Amino acid sequence: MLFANNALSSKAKTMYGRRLKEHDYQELLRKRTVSEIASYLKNETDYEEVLRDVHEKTIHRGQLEALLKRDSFIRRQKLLRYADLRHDKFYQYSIYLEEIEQILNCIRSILSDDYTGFVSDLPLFMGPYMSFDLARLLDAKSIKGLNEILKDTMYYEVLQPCFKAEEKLDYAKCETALKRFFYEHQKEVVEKKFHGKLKKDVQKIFDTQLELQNICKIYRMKEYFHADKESIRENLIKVNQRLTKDMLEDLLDAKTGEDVLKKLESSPYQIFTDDNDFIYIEYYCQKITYHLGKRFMHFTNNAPLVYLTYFILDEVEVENIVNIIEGIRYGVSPEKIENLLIY
Amino acid sequence: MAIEKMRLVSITSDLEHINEVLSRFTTLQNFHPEPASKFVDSVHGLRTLNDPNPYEEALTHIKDVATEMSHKLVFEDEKVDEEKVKVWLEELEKVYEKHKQALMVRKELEDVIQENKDAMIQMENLEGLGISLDDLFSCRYLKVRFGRLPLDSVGKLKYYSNKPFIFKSFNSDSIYSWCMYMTTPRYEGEVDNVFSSLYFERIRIPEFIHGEPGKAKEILQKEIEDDEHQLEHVNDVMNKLLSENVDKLNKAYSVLCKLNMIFEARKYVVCLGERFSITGFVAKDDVNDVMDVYKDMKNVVEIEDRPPHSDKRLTPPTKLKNGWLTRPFSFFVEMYGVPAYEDFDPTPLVALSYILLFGIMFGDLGQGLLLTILGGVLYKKKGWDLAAIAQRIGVSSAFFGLLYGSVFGDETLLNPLYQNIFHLEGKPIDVLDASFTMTLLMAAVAIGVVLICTCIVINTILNFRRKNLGEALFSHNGLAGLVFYTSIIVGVVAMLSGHSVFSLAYVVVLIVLPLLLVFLKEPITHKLAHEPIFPEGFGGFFMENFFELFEVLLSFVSNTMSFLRVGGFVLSHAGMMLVVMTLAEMVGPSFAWLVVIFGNVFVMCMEGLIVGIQVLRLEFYEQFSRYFDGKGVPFQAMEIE
Repeated sequence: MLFANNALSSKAKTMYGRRLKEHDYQELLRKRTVSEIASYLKNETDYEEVLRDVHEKTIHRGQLEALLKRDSFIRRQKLLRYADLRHDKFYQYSIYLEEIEQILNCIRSILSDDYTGFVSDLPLFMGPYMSFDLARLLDAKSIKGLNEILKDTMYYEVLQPCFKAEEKLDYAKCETALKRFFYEHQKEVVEKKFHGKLKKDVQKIFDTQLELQNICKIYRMKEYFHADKESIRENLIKVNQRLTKDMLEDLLDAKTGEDVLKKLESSPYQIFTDDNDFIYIEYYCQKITYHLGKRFMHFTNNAPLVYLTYFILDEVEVENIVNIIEGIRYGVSPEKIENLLIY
Repeated sequence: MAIEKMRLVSITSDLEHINEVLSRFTTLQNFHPEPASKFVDSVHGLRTLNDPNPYEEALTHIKDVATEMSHKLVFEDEKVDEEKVKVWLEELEKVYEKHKQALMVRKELEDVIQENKDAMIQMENLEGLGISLDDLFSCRYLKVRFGRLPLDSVGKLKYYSNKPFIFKSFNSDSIYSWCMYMTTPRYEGEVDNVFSSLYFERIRIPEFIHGEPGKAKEILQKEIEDDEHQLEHVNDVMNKLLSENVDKLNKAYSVLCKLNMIFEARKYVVCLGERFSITGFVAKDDVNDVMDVYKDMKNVVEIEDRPPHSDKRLTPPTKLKNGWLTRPFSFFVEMYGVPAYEDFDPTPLVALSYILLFGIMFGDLGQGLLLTILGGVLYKKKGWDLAAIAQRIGVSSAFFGLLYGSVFGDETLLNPLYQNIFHLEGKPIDVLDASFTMTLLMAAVAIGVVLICTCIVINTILNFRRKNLGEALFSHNGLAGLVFYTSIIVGVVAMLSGHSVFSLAYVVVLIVLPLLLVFLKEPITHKLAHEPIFPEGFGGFFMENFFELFEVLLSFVSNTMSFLRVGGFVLSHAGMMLVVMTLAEMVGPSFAWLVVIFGNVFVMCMEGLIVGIQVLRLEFYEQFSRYFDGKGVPFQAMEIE
């Protein structure tokens, strides 16, 4: 076990060492086209291998983003070769997250009756790792079709209360049900598989992520849907991390999104936002998760924790690149794009 | 072999001479300037110069221009002339414009060549079908598109099976399927959208190619060759443009660097009325050199030379001064930290103990000499401190190799030397002799004891010098610790040699009493300083110091035992070379030399590195932790880019 522990954490730390550094981001921000970005990533960074055969001059933006996400997934899977087999159930969480994301994408497409984005972004390469036939999601033109595909999976039972024929399908309800299921399931696994400080730290990361997601939900529902306290509460998943019950109630009592932000300044997360330079709530939440992950990456050698934090840091890196690509596509100034980056 | 004596030097002049003074100041490599911010708050009327740097932007621009033109700027010692640099920058701007135009043409040509090469691949794909391109593109009811589709997207086409198109894949690589699709003019837009959403990269077949794909390939090939020829011409033009202006680029860059540097030096300037001054530290031996720089400005520049502690706001920096043998080892010391100005420079002790320990642990005459030669060559070529260290420790390794009778792992080669010249029966030290093992390990521990005692003595002297009596007398790294440690060692040695010195008086006076003093160090120190004896209460003091005492005892044992590794590595080195020699014997005479060479290289690289690190560990952990805190300020002249 010790060997597996050391192997995975050493490998993950080596891979983390090859991440994009500040000077890479500065170089990327100087680029003016997607092909220049592709060329830099291909020739100057660790993305060399995945981009080796691409034609950087003609590569489609979406294809570049898809390749980066694919590379990130493959790298994480490679790490699992070094994992302790007894913790298999824990490491499965990254696949669950991908599965849930694809199911939600499918539900969104069914609701909007627009499948174009769903089809082009569907990561078919993940198919062999998933508990259902991913390619068949392309044929799910209705909730009934989706149910058929998911019938042998654990998600089937989770989604049934949301798929009641008499009620209008509520996307937020499906999302909450799936995510609640994920966190409860994961908490159970962590409880069974780990002990002591490791258990506490692993759970802390999951709980922090969940709590930050709750904060984002409260802000968005207040700011864009002017939702009332009770309907927001229905969409939250119960977690006790840094926010006390009273603080949560205080946030739920806020009148607008702006009020939520003001209250967050004095919360334990200390999310400070500038009126003139507010980015988006997820940015601040992701930044907190990123710094938490970075701290664990530097100070722990426990394989499950290192894997968990590598996952977070890697996701942020890919998102940074996507932000640069999108920024360039829409002609945003390098200074503004830089504000979106987390590193 | 010590820390250089410093002087506090102030350069003062009138503001009208600031540029000339600063221009000369930036050339001083022996002046450790103190930032103006350290002075301004403490004296009324003092001010700093905070104007924005006017040269920074031009410098950044010229660096960008050089990067765009793929030129690595070289700093030259050019005379500062602001007017001249303005003219150069204007001329370079015109050159840059020309370069940008050429760059645009080159990019267009590269794109066309790439497009034609892609079209060529498609022609090869079409060749087998025997269709004329003219027929294909003149179809009235069919629209044809050639291109690449990501493999992941090919699987998604089935979702669009209700759309009117025909998809044909010719071949695939690791990412793309090289393909074509056909549809009708009516659904052209819709189908194009579908493929676009699946990241289809269209390859346009140039209009100038006609007929069979085979013939089209010939035309394309010619076109590619023509374009490549043109590309070469554009590259030549760009290279010429660069070579004609490279001198100007370097000169403009150098002058701008100097101007920028002079301006940056303003952060060290403190002004009072129409006068300004720069204050910093200079090694005592270099003060005259600084004065020489301003010799011809004697009438307008005043240089004041004061003792280093004359200004209480400033901490004198540390500049290590060592002899030829020990100088490279300051690299290790600085890696840990620089000693404070008044402290002791541990470099000589590090140098001697490192050379000695490495030699003992890695004793081999051949490998040692080779290490010395390699270190010497590398130091001469690259100037690496580590290479200079290798040069020195190699000699020690060779010396101990001579004592162990080992030459590149051969344990018998030196026997005639010992027998005929030194008239010995065999080698002076046979490390593989089982009866010698215990002696070797005891000797290793003895070296450790000597080094630990030396460190404690140094710490005691340093603390006496600092008038830190509590630490000097009662600390475990002070006199009490030394008495306790040496008494235990003497007692153990006596026991091993069949005597017992542990009488009641010995135990009480030399072991228990020092230990009690170590335990009571803090209250006694507080008492001596006329402070409350237990500022945080007796309970807290007792608990903390009780457990700390355990740690002190353990650290004495573990630090002493740590030196066992010295003996361990002597055995490990000999063992590894024995394996190499055994393998060489096994493979027979034809390949034995190969095994010996490879084995020696392997052992030198791997064990040399491990021994190097282990000795460094002994230096840092077992010795430095006892007397050296490395909290000094390193001497740093103004940085030149």
